[in-house]
Parts: sequence; structure tokens; C-alpha cells
Amino acid sequence: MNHVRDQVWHSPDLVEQIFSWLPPRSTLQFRRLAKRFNQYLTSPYFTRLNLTRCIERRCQSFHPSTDNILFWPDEAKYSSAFSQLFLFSLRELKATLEPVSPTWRLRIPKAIHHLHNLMHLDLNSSGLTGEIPIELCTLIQLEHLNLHNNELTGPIPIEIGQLVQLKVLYLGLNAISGPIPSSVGNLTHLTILNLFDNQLEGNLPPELCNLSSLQCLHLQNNRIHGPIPSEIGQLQNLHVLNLSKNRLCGEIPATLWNLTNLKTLSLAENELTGHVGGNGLTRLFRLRTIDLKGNRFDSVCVPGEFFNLEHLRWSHF
Amino acid sequence: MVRITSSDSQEFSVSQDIACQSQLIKNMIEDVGDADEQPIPLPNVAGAILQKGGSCFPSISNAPKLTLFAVIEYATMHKDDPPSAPETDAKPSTSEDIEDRDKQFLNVDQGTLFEIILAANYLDMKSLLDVGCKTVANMIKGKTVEEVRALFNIVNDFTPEEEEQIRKENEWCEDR
Repeated sequence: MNHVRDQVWHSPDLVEQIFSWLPPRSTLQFRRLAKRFNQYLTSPYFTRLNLTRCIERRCQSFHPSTDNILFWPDEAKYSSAFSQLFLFSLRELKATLEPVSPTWRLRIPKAIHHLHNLMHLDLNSSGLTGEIPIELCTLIQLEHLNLHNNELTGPIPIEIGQLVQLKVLYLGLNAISGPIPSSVGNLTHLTILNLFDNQLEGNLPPELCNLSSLQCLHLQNNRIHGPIPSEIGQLQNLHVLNLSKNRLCGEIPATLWNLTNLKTLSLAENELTGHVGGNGLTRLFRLRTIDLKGNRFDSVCVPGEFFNLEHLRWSHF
Repeated sequence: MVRITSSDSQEFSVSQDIACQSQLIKNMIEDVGDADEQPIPLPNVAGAILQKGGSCFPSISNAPKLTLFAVIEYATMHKDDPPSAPETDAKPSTSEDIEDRDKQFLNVDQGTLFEIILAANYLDMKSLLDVGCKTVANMIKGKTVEEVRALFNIVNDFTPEEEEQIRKENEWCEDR
């Protein structure tokens, strides 16, 4: 009997045939049986065979419980095969992920680039760790990218500038470091840019002021230093500008008072200097809240009429 | 009718529709032409199976014949099945999807089961190969690596360090 068994177990084809009927997660365990099993059970052919046999997938939407194979570690090879076989036509991926085991640190998979039809990617509050892979920046159809409230580290890839269809970019509440790449200036359809609560540093790139559709810019609570570029006045559609809790210095550029659509303005807790006041403030007649406290202004002189602005609810100088 | 001869010179006569469930035999018949007019050199096929089986069971001379007999039994049981869909169109199924009659057919000792799998693979009988492999998969399911090694007498040829490395790589998906 041993001879017959050995014949079966020494045939790559038969080993693949047999193990392909087991659930994908358990096949990974059996890599440990012996060297040749490790070899056979990690072949790309086996991975595809195993997935096509065991995964029933008819729907066009993403189901976190069954589709989390996409988030298996890249080394396991299932992520890539799974996305190529089943997810390539996906347009929307919205999920709040939960890890399969406590030792499993979820990352954004490199295989995400196979989902080239994706327009909407929302993985907020999913415990994602590691860096934003460059591969993500090949999804040029993306209009909505939300990675808010994860544990992402490393820089914002320069390649993010390729996502020219982006309207909404949420990367807030992570541990992303490095500068804001000037290529963000290519994203001219952006209406919302949320990068707050990270560890971003460097200057505010003037290219940011090319984003003429921008309505909300949240950069608070980072380590951004240097001056506020005078080009900021080009962001004519801006409703919300929050640059508080950074290390911005120099004077507030006069052009900022041209942003007459502003409803919320916060420059609090920076290292801004110069004089605040005059008629510029009163031009922001739509303001609801303004917070300039915690800076190093030489003088603050707010004209009395400013406090009569119709919509003003809260001001702090 | 098609004649099949096992290596121990046992001859089987089976109808063509049964024999042709083996893609290998079917191809041979097609190569040779009308099976009714001239004999198909199938003894070579059976001989090949036997050669495999023969070396496995040196002391049990009729084992190859039994395997062939079992394969023919399976083919007879399934002769009226609709042709199976190509793999790409097939619906996903699990190892649990085995017909009762096949379950009964494969309720044999491990050696015979593996013999049948080898024969099905050699004769290119996809449906038999699938149920055979599913049956072995079901024996594996739910067992630990150590239990599977013991069940099939698989020798662990990893060094402790190598095995630990794989264990680490798989840590994320170990059962909670």
C-alpha cells in the first residue's frame, strides 16, 4: 500500500487535485507536511485551482467575511489570484474589516491593482497597518478614496498624483509621515482633502492651491511648517480651511481674506506672526466659526462690525 | 464492445459508451477508427495500469484486475450521466458534494482508494478522479498536520528550523 500512496503523494498533479478540495485557509497549514507539499501547495496553478473550486462568487459587490482573501498577506499568493479571478470588475469596495486572528496585521494588499475598475474604495476604521502601496495609485478610475482612521504609516506616495479622477480623499487619523507630495496638485477634481491627525511634515506645497474645486481642506494636527502660501487665495470654493495644530509660521497672506465662501476657518495653535485685523476679516461674511488662538501674532485688532456678521456663531482670537 | 485486458491477462468486454468514459481509451478508439471492425490495442492501456499496480502489489496478483474491475463498475454506474461541463463553467463545489452511490463505491480501504485515483488519473476519467480526490480531502479535513502525516505515513523532511519558518509565515491564519 505504501507504494501506491507514495505514487500519489509524489505526483504534483494528484497532490494539487486532492488539496484543491480543501478550504483555502486550511491548505496553507498543510504546506508544513513535507518539502514537496510546500512546493506543490504554493504553486500559482494550485492557488487558482483551489480558489475556483472552493469559492462561490456570483455577486458583484464585496463581502468582507468571504472576500477577505484579498487581504491575506501578499506572500500567501491567494490575494493576487483571488482579485484576478473574482474582483477585477468590482467598481465599489466598501468594508470595515476585522482581522481573522489576533496575530494578523491587516495591510492594503499590493494585489489591489488588479481591481482596475474600482471607483470607490472605502476601508475606514479597518485596523490597516503598513504603508500605502504604490500599487493603489494605479487605480486611475478612483473617485472616492477613504482610508480614514487606520494605523497607516510611511509617506503618501508621490504617485497619488495619478489618481486624477479623485473627488474625495480621506487619509485622516493615521500615522502617515513625510511631506504632502506636490503631485497632489494634479488632483484637480478634489472637493474634499482630509489629511488631519497624521505626522505630515514639510511645507504646504503651493501646488495644493491648484485644487480649484476644493471645498474642504483638513490638515490640522500634523507637523507642517513654513508659511501659508499666498496662492491659497485661488481656492475660491473653499468652505472649510483647518490648518490648526501645525508649525506654520510667517504672516497670514492677505489673499486668504479673498476666500469669501469660507464657513469655517481655523489656524489655531501654529506659530503665525504679524498683525490680524482690519477690513479683511469682514469680507468673510459667510463665516460661522473662526479660531486663530494660540499663535504669536504681534497684534490682533478685530473690527466691531466683524462680530455682527450674520452667520458667525463662534470666534476665538 | 471494447476489449480491455489487464496485465495479468484478464480480459474484460465492455460496451463502447462505458469504455469511452476514459478519455484515454476514447482517444485511442478515435485514433484507430471503428471499434467494431478492428480490435483496439487496449491491452497496452491495461498493461500500463497493471505495470503501475503490479509493482505495487507484488504479492497480490489479482489487485490490478480488481482495480480495473472497480473502474469499469464505476463507469457502468455513470454511463447515463450527462457530459460534465468544462472546468471553467463548472459551479464551485466542496469536497462534501459526493453522490451517495459514489460514497458507497469509494468506501474501500486506503490502498484501494489510492489505486483507483491512480487509475482514474491514468485513464483520464475526470469525474472519478474528482470524487476520489474529494474522498481523500475529506479524510484530511479537520485534521492537524501531524495527524495527516500519521494517517498517510508522510515523512516530514523539514529541518526543525524550516518547519518553524513555515509555521511563522502561517501564524496569521492559524485557528484561534
